Amino acid sequence: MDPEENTTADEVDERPQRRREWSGGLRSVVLPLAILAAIVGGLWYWQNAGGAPAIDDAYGTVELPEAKNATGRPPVAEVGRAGPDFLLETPAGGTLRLSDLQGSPVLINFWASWCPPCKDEIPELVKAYDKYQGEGLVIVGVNLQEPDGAVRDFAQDFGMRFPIGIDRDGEVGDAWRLGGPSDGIPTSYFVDEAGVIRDFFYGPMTDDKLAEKLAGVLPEGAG
Amino acid sequence: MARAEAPQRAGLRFGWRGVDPLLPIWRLLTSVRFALALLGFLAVAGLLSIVLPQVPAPMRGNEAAISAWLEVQKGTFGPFTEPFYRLGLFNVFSARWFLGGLAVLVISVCVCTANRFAPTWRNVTRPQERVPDGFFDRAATNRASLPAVENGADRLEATLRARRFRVKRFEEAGATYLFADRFAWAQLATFVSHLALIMFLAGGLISRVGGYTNALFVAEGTTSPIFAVSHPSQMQVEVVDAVGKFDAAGTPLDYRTELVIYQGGREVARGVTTVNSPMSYGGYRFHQAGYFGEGAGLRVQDASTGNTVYHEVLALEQLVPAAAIQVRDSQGRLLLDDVIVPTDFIDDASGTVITVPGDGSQFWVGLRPDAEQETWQMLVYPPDDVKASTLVPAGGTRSVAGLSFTFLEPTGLPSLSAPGLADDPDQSLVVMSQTPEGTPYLTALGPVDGQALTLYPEQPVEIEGRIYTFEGRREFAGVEVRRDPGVNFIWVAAGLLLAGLMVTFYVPRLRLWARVRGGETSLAGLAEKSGAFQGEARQLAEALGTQVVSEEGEGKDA
Repeated sequence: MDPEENTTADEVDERPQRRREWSGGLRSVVLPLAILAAIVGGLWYWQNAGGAPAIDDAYGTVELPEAKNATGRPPVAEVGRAGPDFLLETPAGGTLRLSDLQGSPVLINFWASWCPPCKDEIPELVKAYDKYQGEGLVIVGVNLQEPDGAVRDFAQDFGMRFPIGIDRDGEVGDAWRLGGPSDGIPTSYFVDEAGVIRDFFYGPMTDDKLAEKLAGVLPEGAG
Repeated sequence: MARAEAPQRAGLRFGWRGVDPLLPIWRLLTSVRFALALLGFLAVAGLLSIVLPQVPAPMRGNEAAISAWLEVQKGTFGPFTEPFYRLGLFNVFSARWFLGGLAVLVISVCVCTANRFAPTWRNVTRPQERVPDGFFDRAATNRASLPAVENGADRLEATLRARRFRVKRFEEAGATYLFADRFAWAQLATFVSHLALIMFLAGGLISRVGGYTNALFVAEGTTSPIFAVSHPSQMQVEVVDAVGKFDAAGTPLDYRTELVIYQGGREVARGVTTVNSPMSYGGYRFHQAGYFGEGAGLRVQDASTGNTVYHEVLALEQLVPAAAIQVRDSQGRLLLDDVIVPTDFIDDASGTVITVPGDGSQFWVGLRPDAEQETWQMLVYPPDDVKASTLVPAGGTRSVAGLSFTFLEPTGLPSLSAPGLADDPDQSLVVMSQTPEGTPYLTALGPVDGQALTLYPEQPVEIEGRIYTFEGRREFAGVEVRRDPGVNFIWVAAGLLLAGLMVTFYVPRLRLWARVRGGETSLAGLAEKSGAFQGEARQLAEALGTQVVSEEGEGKDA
């Protein structure tokens, strides 16, 4: 029996709640914080259990093969640099890889069916594709995180016959720095035959603006 | 013994020259002054949030909206507006300094609570079973004396056990000492309450940091993302069916919406949300927050390719004034009973040319406000003779060219300016009305110069290389998407607090020390509840067939 605790005082300490006891850093500070972290972490996990479905890691931004990097510098979504390569699923279940399109000028357009300015712009893209397809132009529509069925129906409705990939988790959109100051879509990048970004545009393009931007990547005299 | 810094125990230690670097942190976190300073700091922050205007929740994260809001505040705060915003004074509860202060408070409460646990646990599991004799005489505590009874120590011990005390007995120098403890574990309830406090604070903090709210306005058959642009947790919310029920007077009875949630390209949840029963998925709640019944689906296709060039569900949020009229012939036969959809807007008048059924004559019929701009008047004239205008007040009837025109009432038709529909956005207008049989129809102004397109559901109209299709009336649902990761913390905290308080108030710990010596039994005790000791002493005396002869302490007159 601890003599200090049990026999020496006339007055029994009846205020244990006012005691504090230094038991070393681990017990007095680290342990309480670890318990707090465990409780908070446990409840956080409970709150978020059954969350987002797993997305295949194989898709999204992928490494650009060195042989396909004409700039020799790491890819980044900037004019004069090789664009970040990506591998995406198409709404029909196939795959679409950006670097496979090297050799053709590419217009990468980020869009979604819920985005009114995108819907304004898409008929112009459809017309441009019909017009410049013969000149080698490839338009890649990157849809942001929509269900396959919705993308398929929309593409069919609007006559989007160019390749479409679905950015399941938004990673490709992030890599390509969507929206700029307006933080939105549509956003378009113009990539030359060597896979180097030559221009970009934030917002919906009119047919004149589209023709002006395409002139920077299409062969001279196209159209 | 307000403070007992016990010698450091053997075991894992760290620090420099035996000085634990966490000791000053521990002293700070367990300091009452520091706790008061923190609470004062948070109280001042709360006061600031009341005194200073705060950025409205829907604007948060939208720099353009915040910029516009700050422009308004410049009228009040002038050059201080920008510095105040940078300091987080217009967003106090989301400011890093506030969240940091709250986090430190949580940690402080947590460390204090945990550090009280060891002494309290000892007090519960290894209570002070022996007290010096002076404790029975001099201690400023609850004490009582009982007269001698036969076999006093044995009978007292048995009585204590019968009254649910845990009893220890010691014999020493001709005296018997008893220690009795009841509901010792109840002292731990304070930690349950403290844990609840920590959980409340942690819940609030987590809600602030990880919470998310967004209001969606989604038409039937369309989807909307819950985050702007891309996001790792992005979800698409599809409104399959939005339902609004109203009574005959137009009072809303019920709103409900059937939703489908998509994530990662596939359907992950489907259900119905109502005002009182939100749908949940992945930590997000989808609340029924609104309903709008005046939507119209409109599709425009290129006639040569069949490609859609315009496809929207228009929320017809504006009202265009229109006249409800009746036209009768000279025999009083009803020729027309309808609401006139305006297609011409001339100065302050809006109307259209109508052809009276069964008669064939044409008139321009419209509305314009009276001179005081207080009431609407109906204007009727033959299309080629504006000077022959006849004004008809609401409820009135006038004869024009042998026909009787009655202006039943002015009404408003749902409409919207749809910029994407016409080259000149100022000239585009879509108005929805319905036939006397109740079939909705759409009147579109602007797509075709000089003509109003009247579109009936699923009856495409081809004109100038375009096919226009009114897909029918569509309803909109307002869906508030909310993620509040702190909500479960709050529920658990509320339960813990309730349990802790109930034990504290209704299961009080009582400790008794008894000394049976010679002709006297002395009792001393510690009771969590005022008067509990005296009450217990009297009941013990009664059980022993005697009476308390003297008593001191709280509740002695109870």
